[in-house]
Amino acid sequence: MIIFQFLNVIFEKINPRNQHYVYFLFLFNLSIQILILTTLPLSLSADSFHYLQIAQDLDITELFRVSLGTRAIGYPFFLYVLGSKSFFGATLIAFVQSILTILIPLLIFLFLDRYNHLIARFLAFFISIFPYVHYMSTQIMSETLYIFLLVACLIYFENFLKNKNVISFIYIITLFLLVSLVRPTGQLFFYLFGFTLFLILILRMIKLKLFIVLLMMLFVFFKIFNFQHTEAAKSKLTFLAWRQVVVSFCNINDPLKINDIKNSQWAYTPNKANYFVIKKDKSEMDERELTYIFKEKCVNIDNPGKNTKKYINILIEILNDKDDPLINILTSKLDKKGSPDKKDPEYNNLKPLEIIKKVHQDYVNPLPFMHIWWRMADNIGHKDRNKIISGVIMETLIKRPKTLNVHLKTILKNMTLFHCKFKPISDIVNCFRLKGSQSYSDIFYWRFIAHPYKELKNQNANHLLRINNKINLQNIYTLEKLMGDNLNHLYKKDTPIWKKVEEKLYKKNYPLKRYLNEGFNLGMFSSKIMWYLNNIFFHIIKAVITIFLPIMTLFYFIKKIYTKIKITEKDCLALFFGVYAYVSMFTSVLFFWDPRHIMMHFIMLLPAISIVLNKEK
Amino acid sequence: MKYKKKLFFLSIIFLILFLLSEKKIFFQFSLLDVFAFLFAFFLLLYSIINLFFFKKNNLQISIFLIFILFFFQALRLNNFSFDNLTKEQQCVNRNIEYEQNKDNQNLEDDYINACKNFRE
Repeated sequence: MIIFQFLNVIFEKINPRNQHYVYFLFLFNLSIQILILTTLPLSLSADSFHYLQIAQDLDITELFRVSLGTRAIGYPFFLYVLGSKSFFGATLIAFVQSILTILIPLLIFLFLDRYNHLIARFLAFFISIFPYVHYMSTQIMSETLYIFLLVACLIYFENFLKNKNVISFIYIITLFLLVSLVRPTGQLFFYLFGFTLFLILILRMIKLKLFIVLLMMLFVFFKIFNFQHTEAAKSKLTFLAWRQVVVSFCNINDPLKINDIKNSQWAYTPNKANYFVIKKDKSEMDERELTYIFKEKCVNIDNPGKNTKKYINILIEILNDKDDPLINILTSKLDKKGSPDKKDPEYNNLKPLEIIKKVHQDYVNPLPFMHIWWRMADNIGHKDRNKIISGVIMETLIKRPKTLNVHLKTILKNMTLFHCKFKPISDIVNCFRLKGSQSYSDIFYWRFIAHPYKELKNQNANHLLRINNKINLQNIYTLEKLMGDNLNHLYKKDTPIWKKVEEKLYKKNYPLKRYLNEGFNLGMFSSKIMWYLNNIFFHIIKAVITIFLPIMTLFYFIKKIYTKIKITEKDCLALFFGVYAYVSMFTSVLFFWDPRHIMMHFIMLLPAISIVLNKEK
Repeated sequence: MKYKKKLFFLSIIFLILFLLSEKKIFFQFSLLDVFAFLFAFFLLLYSIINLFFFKKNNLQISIFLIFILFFFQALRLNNFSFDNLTKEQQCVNRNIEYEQNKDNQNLEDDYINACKNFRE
């Protein structure tokens, strides 16, 4: 009965006026889903393996004993319930994700229809042809479920604002809990909702008694989320900040050092792969390398401040206590997955302090520092580790505020459209050029496919042993099937498989049709089309979130204040989800650049877009 | 009676789809893949034409289409045997099976046999 009432909130939005379009959206999205399923593989990336491993370790009788790392339990549980451990493999998961993808634009339309029918049609159609929403259903990633739940939140939050009773509150708070269990970013809803409830009370829209009951329920639901929220997940942002700050370069201020570099024939500079700092003859350096010669690491290990000194001392203690994994990692060369490969002779017979100094000087890649982060937690606990590392980060940022300069410049470059040169006209095309990104290569992902010429244990492929082998077979079969005839040139003894695949995938000046003409490589052909289309959509979204929406919102509220029109419930809803979207996007853009986070949260801005586009305000 | 006819009709369609999936016609692609692609393409066109001209809604067809989607997903991800994988991936897979159960002599033999061309 309660489920029927719950679903009825959606069903009652369908009326004779909008049912044709609902049916159109259903057919349209279903056909796109089938088209995508015929041309894209079931793809597993690094995150997929982690989700599947957690699902594999899940046991319904001991649900909260599983090790989640930085993940939340929601998506692994979804995989588990849909049979990721059974003979179904990924079959039911892929099917349910397809259904959710079909429902996303449909629910968006039903929700926005109340704002303006025509705009609702337009925005729902925009989401229907948004490649990202569609191709994510072919991957074992939390996005599809997350976006679906976010869209459901729009409808049930509106329902709560309309009814303001306990039942509608339970619906929406359950959805907020589910969102945060799928991606911890969702916890922001609890804070925003607490504030909203307080606002509703001040505006006398609910009684104090009801407010207290709702607040207590909000607290209970937040506690449920917190119960599964691991220490590692809680400190994820500090970890990401550490990863940025510890490898940042700052200008050398010491005139003596600058003079030495000027007088010397060689200097230190990051190597071509941007992995190590190397000593190189200045005359042999290229333009990029020359920009680094008067720079050093921002974290000052040679002349440390109070907090950095504390960090060094703790690390020395850990190394003196013979923490073998850490000693092994810091004194070895690391492979492409970040695991120790073989001993680095340059680290032989070095004392702990010398090892720390050398690691900090040598690495541009954050991998060893990530290991330091993890090993510190094992030795001194998460809380103390966070305190010490936060201290180092703050101290570095205060002493050298330019630490994040390069990072911020990259963010600005990635986010704005102003770096495009519009003259000559032909350069506009460059603005929409295809940029490589992890989220794009995930569509047709071969990096975790094992090589037959080496034993699994010798190629660090243990991830394959920790998931249901059926899913692994489904992944391999669909990948190989879509490679067409190119499969015959893929497995070479001395070359990693992914390297051969990516050589072809990232080939420059290689026309799309050649993927089909030369060996019928349907996988790469359709992945590339998805990339191109998605890139155009991504630029439109960037323009909307950085230019269109802020300006239009400003005008909208100025007009409201000027004409003394009351702020409506619709405005409150748009603000609520707008704040959620912008905070989530800003956090992810600041800490780790990934276009996926922009695209997945864009949907939360649709109410605001709908309002500012609507002439009948 | 009405439902019996529909069920019969559905069963026939699924049987045809299943039979289409059996025969590989082009690399690892079967007739089902071609059928699914064309079906989706025409459905896409139909959805647009229906929106502007026919303006018909049919709940039963929607449910039927969901079944088609499920059936297609199930076949896409399950309609293959171990032999459909390349020899290289057969070796990798035998390696996985052996690593997961090292005490099983049969698995070890299968593994050695599958990988004899790739390992020294």
